[in-house]
Amino acid sequence: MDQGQIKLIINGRNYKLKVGRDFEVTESLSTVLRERLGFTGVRVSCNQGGCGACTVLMNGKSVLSCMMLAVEADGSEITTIEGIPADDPIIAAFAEESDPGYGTAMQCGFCTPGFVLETKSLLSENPHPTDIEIKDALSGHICRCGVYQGVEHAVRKVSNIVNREDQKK
Amino acid sequence: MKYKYIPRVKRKYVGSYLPKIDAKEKAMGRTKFFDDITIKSKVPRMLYCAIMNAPYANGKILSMDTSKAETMEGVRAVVRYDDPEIMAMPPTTNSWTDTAITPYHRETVPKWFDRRVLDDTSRFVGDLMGVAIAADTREIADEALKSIDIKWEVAPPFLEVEDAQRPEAKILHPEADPTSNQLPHRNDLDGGVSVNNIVVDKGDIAKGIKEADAVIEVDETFGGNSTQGTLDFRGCMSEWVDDKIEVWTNHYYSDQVRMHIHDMLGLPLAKIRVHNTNCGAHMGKWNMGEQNFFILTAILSRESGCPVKYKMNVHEEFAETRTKINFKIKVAGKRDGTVTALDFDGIANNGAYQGVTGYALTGFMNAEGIPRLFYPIENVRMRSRVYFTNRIPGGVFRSVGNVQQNFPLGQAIDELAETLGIDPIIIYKKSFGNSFDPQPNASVASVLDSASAEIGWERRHKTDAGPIIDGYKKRGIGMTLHNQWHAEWQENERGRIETSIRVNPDLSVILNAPTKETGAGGNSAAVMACADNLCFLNITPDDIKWVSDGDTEMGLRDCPPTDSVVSFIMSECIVGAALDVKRQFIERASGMMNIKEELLDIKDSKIFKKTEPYICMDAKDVMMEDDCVPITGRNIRNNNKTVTGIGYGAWFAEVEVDTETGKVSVVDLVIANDVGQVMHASGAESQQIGGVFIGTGETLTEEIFYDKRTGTPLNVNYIDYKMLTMADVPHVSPILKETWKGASEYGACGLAESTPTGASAAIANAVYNAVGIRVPTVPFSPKKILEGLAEKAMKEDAK
Repeated sequence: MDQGQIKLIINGRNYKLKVGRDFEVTESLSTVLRERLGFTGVRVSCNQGGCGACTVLMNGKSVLSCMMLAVEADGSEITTIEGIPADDPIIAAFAEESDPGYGTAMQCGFCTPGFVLETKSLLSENPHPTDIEIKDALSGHICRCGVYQGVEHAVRKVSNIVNREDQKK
Repeated sequence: MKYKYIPRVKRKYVGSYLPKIDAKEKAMGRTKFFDDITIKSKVPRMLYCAIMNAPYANGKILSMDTSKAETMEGVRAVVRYDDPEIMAMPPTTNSWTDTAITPYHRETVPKWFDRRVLDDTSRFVGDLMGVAIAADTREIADEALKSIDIKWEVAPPFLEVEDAQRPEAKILHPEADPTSNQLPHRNDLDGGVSVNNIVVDKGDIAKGIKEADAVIEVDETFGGNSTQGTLDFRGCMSEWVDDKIEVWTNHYYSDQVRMHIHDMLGLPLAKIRVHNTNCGAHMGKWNMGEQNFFILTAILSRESGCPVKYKMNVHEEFAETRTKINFKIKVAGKRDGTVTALDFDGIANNGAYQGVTGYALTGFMNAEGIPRLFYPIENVRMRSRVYFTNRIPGGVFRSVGNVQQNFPLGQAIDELAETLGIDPIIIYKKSFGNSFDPQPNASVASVLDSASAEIGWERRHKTDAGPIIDGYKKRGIGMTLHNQWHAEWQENERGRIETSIRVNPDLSVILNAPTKETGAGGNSAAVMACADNLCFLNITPDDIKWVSDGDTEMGLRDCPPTDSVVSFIMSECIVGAALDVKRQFIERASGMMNIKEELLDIKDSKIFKKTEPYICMDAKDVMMEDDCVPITGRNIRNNNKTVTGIGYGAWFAEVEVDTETGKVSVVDLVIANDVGQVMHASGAESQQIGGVFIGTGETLTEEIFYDKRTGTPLNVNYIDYKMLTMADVPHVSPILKETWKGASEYGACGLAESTPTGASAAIANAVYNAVGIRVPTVPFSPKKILEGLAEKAMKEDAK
C-alpha cells in the first residue's frame, strides 16, 4: 500500500482507492467490491470462507473475497462476474443447461457467479479436466438447491467447446 | 439413463426441456437480491440493526442496563423488551404463517401464538430477544449489545423429551399448558378430544394383527439435526416516515409482511408498502413465523429517522431445524402383500417454539397418510405427543413432516417384506393408494415399475449376502414410496389467484404472475404456460417479460412459493387471463371491422371472419388503431375443489458401505415422480436431483451438535455443519411420470417439496441390504455404522 492508497484493476478498469475516503483497511475485499464499488454479483453468504459464493478471480485464479482484506489485493487484477462478457461460453453453458437427465445449472442463482468464476479459473489452468477434477475444483462451493449434476454437465460441455476452439487456433 | 419422459399431451412449451427464463441473468450475476439493493452506497443514511442472541437456553432477564450502549458513538436507537409499546404488542407465532390475519378456520396449518417480538425470556441459545439496536454499522451495533449489563435468572436446559417430562424441568410455555411441557392437542386438528393421546383410530388394530402372517416393529428417529442451510440470509430494510412504512425484504410473500406489520403496529394496509426482491432458495425457512425483525427495524427507523436494515448472520440463520420425531411403528401383513394393521406411536421434540410438529404428527396422518398414502390399509392407529425442549425450534424444512414419517415407515415395510419373504414392491402395490383412485393404484405401479427398471432392482441380493468389494466394502439396494405433494389441498386452502397479461403494441408481453422466484421455477413455468395460451398471437417465451419485483402498492397480490404449488396454480390462472386477452382483441377488432364479435376469431396474430377468413385484420393494426393502448387480460381464479386423488413418488438407492471405516457412500439414486403434468421438464428434473441431495445430506452428514450442559448449538456455521458439495454426490436418474391427473387444464400436483422425502428411507434400506444393520437415527455417521456392525457381530457370535 502506497501513501494510504491501493490500486486495483477491476474487470479491466483502474481503481485507486484511498483509505478513510474510499474504504477502510479493516474491510474485506468482498465488502469493498460490493458495498463500496457496487459489484453486487460478488455474493456474500456465510462470510467465513465456507460456501464459495464470494469467489472472484485475482490475477486469473479464484480466491474467496470474504477471506482477504482489500489491501491484500493491492496491485492485482480482479475479475468479478460483472467482468465476464455475456457471450462467454461458460456463461452460455450455465445458462443453457437443460438437457434431459441433468436438470439445470442453477435454480435460485445466488451461488451461480461463484461457480462460473471457479469454472473460469479451472479451465484457464486445466483446459481438459476429468470428471473428478471438475468435482474437486468446484467442491468448495455450496449450492443448497443442489444443481451439482447440471453444473458438472455444463462444465464438461464447455470444456469440450473451449478445447475445440483451442485446437482451431 | 434408460428412461425417457414422454409428455401425455404434446404442448409447444409447457412440459418441455428448455433453459430457465432467467438463467442468463443469473449466470451473469445480474439478479438483484435484497442485500444488493440495500447497500450503503445506495442508501447512505441506512443504519444497521442487531438483535441480542440469547446466551442461555433457559434465561430470564431480571434487569437490563442499556445506558452504555445508548451513549456509544454511532448508536442511533435502542428498543428494549420492557418498552411499553413492545410489552403491549400481541404475541406472535413461530408456526406456519399463510397470512398473518388469515381467519382461524382458514389457516393452512393451525398456528400457536407462543412468541413475543422482544421477550424477556429465552428458550434456546441464540433466541433473538431482549433488546435491538440500530447503529451506523453492524459492528457498532454488535459492540453495543456486548456493553449491555444484564442480570439473568438461569434454569438448566433440557434437549430431549424425556428430560422435558421431568418434574424439575422448567415449563417453557405456560400459556399452552401451565403444568407440563407437552403441547396440548387441538380438538379441531386431532379429530375430537383425544384419549391417551390417540389421535387416529381407524378400524381395529388388534383384529388386523390377529389376521396377519407376520408382525414387525421398528423404532426410528428422524430430525433435530438439520437446517434449511440456504445462502441468501433473511433480512429487511424498513423506513418509517410520518405515518407510513416502506419495507424491502427477501421474504417470499410481500402481502404477508404487509399483513403482519398491520397486525402488530395497527397501521392501515394502504400505508404499508412492501417490496420483495428475488430471494435465494428458502427450503421452508420463510414459512417460519413472523420474524421479529420486521417490527424491530420499523420501530428503530421511527426512532432514528433513518432507514434501518437487519440481515441475519450465519449463526442466526440456524433458527430452525427439521423437527425431531421418534416413531415406533408396528406393522402387520399377509404374504399376498396386504398390510392388515399399521400402528404408529409418535413423539416429537418440538424445540423451543411450536412450528408445525403437532401437525406433522397428526394432521399429516389425517390429511395425507390415511386418505392419500395408505388408504387401503383397514386398521390404522396413531398415538401422538409433542414436547417443548430447549433445542432450536423444529420448523418447516422441505418435505416437512413427510420425511419423518417415511423414514420409519419405509423401513418398516422393508422389514415386513423380508419377514414375509416377499418383495416390498408387492406390499406397496397391494396396500398403498388413495381414497379416490381405484386399487391397485396405477400411479403407485407406474413410479415403482419405472424406478425399479432404471436401477436394476432385480440385482438386489438377499440381506448382507452381496460380494465383498476391495476386501471390505459391501453394496446394497433399497427403496421406498411416498405420495406427491397435495394438489387438492392447495386448491382448497389457497385463496383466489390473480394474474394479468399485458400485450404491448408490438405484441411483446408483460406477464404479471406474482410470486417470488426462489429457484423453484414458478416464473419459467408461468412464462411457458403464457406462451402456450397466447399461441393465437404466435407468442414465444422470449417475447414475454415476467414481472420479478413484488410491490404491495403497485402489483397484484402475490402467491407464496411454498408447497411446490406456484408452477401449476399460476399457470391454471394464466389460462383464463389469456382468454381475456383474446376476448379483448376480438372486441376491439369488431368495432374496427364492423363485424359482430361472435363472427370473429383470432389465429396467427390475425383477427378474421370465421366464414370468410380473407376478411381479416392484423393484431398489431388493432392496437395501432386504438392509440397503441396495450391490451391487459386479467383473471382472478377461484380454486377448483374437485377431488382428484394424488400421484406418487418412488426413491431407489444403491449404497456402498465401507465396513472398515464405517463410511456410507451412495453410488446411485433413482427418483420417480408422477406429477400429473410436468410444467417445465428441465426445471422439474433439477428439483428432483437437488431435492434428493438434501435428503442424502441429511441422511449422511448434516448434524447440529449441542453442548448438553449449556444447551448451546456448537457448529452453527457452514464449515462445521457439513452439507454435500459436488464432490460428495452420486449420479441421480430423475424420472418424470404423468399417469395420474388432477383437475383443470394442466392437472398437476406439487413436485419439488416432495423430492427429499424418500431419500433417507431408501438409503437406510440399502444399508440394511448391504450389511444387515439398521441405524435408528440420522445421520449415518461412520461411528454409528461401526457400532451397528460391532453389535451385529456380537449377536452372531453369541449364536
